[in-house]
Amino acid sequence: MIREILSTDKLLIMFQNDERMRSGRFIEPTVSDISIEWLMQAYLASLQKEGKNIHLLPVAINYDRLFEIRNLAQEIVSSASDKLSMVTVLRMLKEQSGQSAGKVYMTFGQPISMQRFLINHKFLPLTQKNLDEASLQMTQHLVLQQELASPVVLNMIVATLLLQTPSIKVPFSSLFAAVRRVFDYLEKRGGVKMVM
Amino acid sequence: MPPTRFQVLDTVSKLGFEVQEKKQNTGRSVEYKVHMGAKNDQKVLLGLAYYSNNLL
Repeated sequence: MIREILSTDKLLIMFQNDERMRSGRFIEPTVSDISIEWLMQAYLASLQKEGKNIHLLPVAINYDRLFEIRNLAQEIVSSASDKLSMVTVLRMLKEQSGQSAGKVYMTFGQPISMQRFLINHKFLPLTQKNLDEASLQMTQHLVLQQELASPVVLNMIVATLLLQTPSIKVPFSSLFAAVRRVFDYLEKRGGVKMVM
Repeated sequence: MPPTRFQVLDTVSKLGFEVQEKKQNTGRSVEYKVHMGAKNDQKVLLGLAYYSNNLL
């Protein structure tokens, strides 16, 4: 099906990382993503022979996980995602009512030419033999792109500072000053997107 | 744009911490105190660790 869609020059959206990273950190994958394997198979089966190329545009969608922060904490402890009942979801919605549900951040990475990627990583011509390794390297590359495209948000800075605070009560002015210092440092250092 | 006082105050509350206005003389800007009691809650701590890991 992927081959058919691509051969008619249609736009195709594929989802990677169907499970969130529970630690909050990006981890280098050790197995290739199934969607990337399908894409490589499609390239191998017809597009390569026809001299066609595929361009991938990585898109990272992140959001403030305020709504499910407790659920997320549970997942970190148990390493299993609980299936939420409708009653639980309704209760969570009720608790959240009148409050902000946070923001959604959508970032676009640099387009990736499949042909160029395969040449650079010495996988051209793509065959059944090197397909698994090529898929894994593309998956790792995309996860890295996702990490680079993910912005630093205010939640991260505030949470890090609160976590390091030993006192029971903290004057807000000192916390605010520390947040600004971290922001100024990151801005000066560069290399990260910041969305406040 | 650097974060404003209001944004930081709002974020602290959203992360599960109580923010209390401090008694003070009039004429000065309003000062607050953040109560870190919520840190005793393991789930709040894990939530903080999640965001902190994101940054690190």
